[in-house]
Amino acid sequence: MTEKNNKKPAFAGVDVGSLATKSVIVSNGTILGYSLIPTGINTEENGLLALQKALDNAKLTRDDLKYIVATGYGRISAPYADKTVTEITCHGKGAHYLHPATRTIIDMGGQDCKAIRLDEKGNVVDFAMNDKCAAGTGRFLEVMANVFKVKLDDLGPMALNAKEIVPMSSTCTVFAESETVSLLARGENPANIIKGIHRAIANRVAGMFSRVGVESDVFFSGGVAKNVGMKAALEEVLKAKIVAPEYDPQLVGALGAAVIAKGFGSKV
Amino acid sequence: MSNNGSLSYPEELKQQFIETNDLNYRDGTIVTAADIWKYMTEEAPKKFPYAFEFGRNNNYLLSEDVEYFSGIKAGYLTLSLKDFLINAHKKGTPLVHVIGGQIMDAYYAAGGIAFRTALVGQAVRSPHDGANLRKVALYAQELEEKGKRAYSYELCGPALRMRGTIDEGLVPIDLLAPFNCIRCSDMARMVESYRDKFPNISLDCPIVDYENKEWAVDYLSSQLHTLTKKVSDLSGKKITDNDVLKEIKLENKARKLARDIYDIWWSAKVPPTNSVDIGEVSQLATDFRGDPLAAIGVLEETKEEIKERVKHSIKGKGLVDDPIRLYVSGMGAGNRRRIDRMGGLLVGADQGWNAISVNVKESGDPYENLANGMLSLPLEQPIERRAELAVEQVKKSKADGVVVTIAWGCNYSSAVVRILADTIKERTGVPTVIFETTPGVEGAEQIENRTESFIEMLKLRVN
Amino acid sequence: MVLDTLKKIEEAIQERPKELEEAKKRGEKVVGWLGYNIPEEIIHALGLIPVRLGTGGDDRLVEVGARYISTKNCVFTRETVGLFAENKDPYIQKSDLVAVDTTCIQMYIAVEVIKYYFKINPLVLGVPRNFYLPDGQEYFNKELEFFTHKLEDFSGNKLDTNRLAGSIKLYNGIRKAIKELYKYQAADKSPIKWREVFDVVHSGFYLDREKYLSLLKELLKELKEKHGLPVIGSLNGDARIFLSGSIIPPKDTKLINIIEEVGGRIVGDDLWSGLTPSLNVNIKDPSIKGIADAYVNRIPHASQPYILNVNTDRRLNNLKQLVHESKGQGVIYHTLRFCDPYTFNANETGAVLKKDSIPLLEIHTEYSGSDFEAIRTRVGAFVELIKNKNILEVET
Repeated sequence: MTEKNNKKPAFAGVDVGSLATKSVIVSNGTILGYSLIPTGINTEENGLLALQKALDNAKLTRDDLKYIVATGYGRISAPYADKTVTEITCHGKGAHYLHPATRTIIDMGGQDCKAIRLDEKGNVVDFAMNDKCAAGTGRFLEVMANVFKVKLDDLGPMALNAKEIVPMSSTCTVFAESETVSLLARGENPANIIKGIHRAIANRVAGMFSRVGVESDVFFSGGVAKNVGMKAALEEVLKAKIVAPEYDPQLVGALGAAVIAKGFGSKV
Repeated sequence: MSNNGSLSYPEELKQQFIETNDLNYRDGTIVTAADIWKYMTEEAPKKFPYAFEFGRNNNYLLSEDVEYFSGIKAGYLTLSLKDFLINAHKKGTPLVHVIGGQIMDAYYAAGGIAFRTALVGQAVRSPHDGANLRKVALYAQELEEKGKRAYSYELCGPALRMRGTIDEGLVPIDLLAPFNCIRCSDMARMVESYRDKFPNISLDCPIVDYENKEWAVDYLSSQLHTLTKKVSDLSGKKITDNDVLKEIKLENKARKLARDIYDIWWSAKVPPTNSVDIGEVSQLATDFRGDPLAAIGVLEETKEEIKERVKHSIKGKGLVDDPIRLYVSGMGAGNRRRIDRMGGLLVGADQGWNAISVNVKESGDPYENLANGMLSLPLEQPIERRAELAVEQVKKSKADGVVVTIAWGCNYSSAVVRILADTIKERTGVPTVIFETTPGVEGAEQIENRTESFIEMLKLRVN
Repeated sequence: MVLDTLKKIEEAIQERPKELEEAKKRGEKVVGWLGYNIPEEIIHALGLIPVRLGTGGDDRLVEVGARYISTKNCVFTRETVGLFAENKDPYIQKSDLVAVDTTCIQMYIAVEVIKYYFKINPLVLGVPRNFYLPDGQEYFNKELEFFTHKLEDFSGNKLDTNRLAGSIKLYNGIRKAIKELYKYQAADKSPIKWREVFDVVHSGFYLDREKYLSLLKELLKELKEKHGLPVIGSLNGDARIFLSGSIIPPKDTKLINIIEEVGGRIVGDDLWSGLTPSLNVNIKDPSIKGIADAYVNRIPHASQPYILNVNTDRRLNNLKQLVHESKGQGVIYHTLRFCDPYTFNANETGAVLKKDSIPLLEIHTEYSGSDFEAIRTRVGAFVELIKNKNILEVET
């Protein structure tokens, strides 16, 4: 690719997740632009749309891009990408870029949850992901927000305001839903139940870390990282401090993909 | 009948209670009825408030039928279990971790005390005194989570509790020696997982199919020799064959008492106790709450008390009139008090019946006798034979309905639920359903919903 | 490079059901077996035809089976029940007697379910959990004697020492050949892939055993001619994956396909449908006791709890050794949901391998297709991890 208008070469990452599609553009050492849109049925179109929006945000065009890496569940339909890489590796690079002291990543998205261990270069050295029927994902919180008739963003602050914890189911979201409905009917304080739900999810996450271990600094990425109640519950259960990213945690995967694109693209 | 509130023993019952029998323990200790009353009205409510609280997470050790004195004594044995075990251990008695539903004769003969995980889990619901229901529920959940993390979410309830008991040091353990029976998928795995941490013995139950195999008896008998030697090394008690025969006689007595009690109870037109109280009978005769002699004392009183109640058509407190009689086959019978409150009555469970059903031969080679006894336990039989025994029980207990349970994590027992349900339905004509149960706080609402619907359905049928 | 013998083996498999039918017409009898510790040598020596039953990967059959057994049982047992329910599998149809051992109690109970609902009268071989203790070994000896007497009644023949010696020689030959094949598939630029060897092992469940041995020898000869001796030397940037865990029976190809799709190269296994049954079988004399002692001393199945010491755990030590021999760079530990023996020791196995710097990824799954993407992501990330490690090692 030739450079136009003396612009530095740019590299893009596209993360096609189950709920949201994200894209980040980087150049040497800087993030130039990004985007985040809901994932629709046509993942290829979605990916291209997210990429275009990120380019618009960066005031660049497709021709300015030297290399594109796609990641996420939808990476399989990303013919526009030069390479596809799993989101585990991408989250590793993304977290390392934002906070080089990261050695452990908790990534909680809509459909899955990951525990990732990094070395000092941001390479993945070990990881674990949630098993089937282990309700430790963003989906659990969505279901619960619906039961309580609140917005997803309200759950975290409600959990922080609870005075007690109600022990909640941690294996089956549907069973937990039944339990919640019955507890509310019995007059249980909603905040206490919500705190119990956060604790249940944190317990699930802790299960994965029993395999890979926890080492500081701990980085929290993925959509659920925006939930302050979840951060608190994780810190309590894992007995570790979590760094607060000065960056939208939903974009970490796409950022990592862009960093990896830069790695490949610079060699081309 | 409230689902909230708490249990207490009214002062006006005290005089009558303290005139009942003392409890005699094996080591010569005597606990008088007055001691028990004091404990259950003063000490226990402070140490174990959760046991006296009616509410969601109570697994009901104590029944609301405060006039049923044997129930108070059974409750005493359970609540005082932790202190009892710790004291026994201090005095040099080895504590041996076993599995529920096995017979314990060999362990006691060799000078040990056998306890099953579920018993500790029921009796020691918190490492600290003064915990309320909410606290014990959170603690139980914490233990379950730790267990799941260490192994898998597919661990069964007892295995989760075993982990908790051992890792939290709820009671001291000198030996892991459960009977690895055919029905249990997880116990052998648990012993294996602690192989470098605790002394252990794997008591392997050979499969009993339809043939009489004397080498299976020899195999188990040889292992029982190893077991008693190990326990007697730990206890310092030198034992002879006669000691083992004596123990068999004692525990046969307990088992017979329990069977007699059930016969009397089943024969009554009006159920003389509620589900919580009758459920304690088989457990007392299986694990003795650590002391077979004390347990026999309570069982003897139980038999007389129930006879009296039947004579005078006294109904167990907490029951509706003509409750729906439910029999449960499989692991996990559900919350007994809640079944009563739904208009039901838990008339029997094959899980509880298992270890009281056998009468071990009291003369000759005691190890061979014990091996034969263990191999004849209903839950160890080929499934058709086991289903026949369940059919017998359903008829004897005059059940209106049968619940066959699948317990989460219990792969082997789950595998045969349909055979059990089909056989029972076919041979008794009694409505039979299959429900799944999960450990701890998980899924309580769903299982209760199903049980309540079944009881409603049966009410219409009976009426 | 296409190996001619592989085509021959495939053709032999196509012919096999018909061959069995003809054998039955001649009065020969088929013993179909399930489990892990049934000694085929004895079945063979009595003039019976052994067939190892059980396939995987079919979610529909799993669902059929779950109507009789329960959804709380592993998919392999559920599918096995489903196979008997439908009775379309040619080997099940042609089995005159079904035998099962009690190594995996879940499978034994599945056979109880099959007995009840599909009126099969199985022959059961008890296997001790205390396989490493004298009384357990004595029990197995007696069980095998009893089992053999029952087979004698069924076959109408008495077990003859010379015939048994012949059968033992045959099976020793088969095991030796399989071990050789495994060396080839792990070798540099090998003309035979792991997957092809895995399929050859499965052919051995069905084919006439004499024919099978001669085909194995032919295959080895072809390999030697086209490739020379197997050498594992340079690691050429492949992500070398070793497969361990719960059984992957014939027709269960989901995980294998995914590993290959994402660029992993499988270089070995210690599966009970792969190499492990061929390891460590030292039959000292042609007798029931000789066979009982040999079987009880080979690599134990994870169902058999070993409660002594992690350092002397033969299963774990064997796993480590095989990974090193095949120069595996990571272990994918396949566990079936509700296969407790493998699932519960995943953490410990991972910790043991970690001491030898071998990463482990557990893939906990069933036969359904609902987790293809999830597995692809996990295995993909693992392959990336290994390849990255390879690059880093080259750079340093």
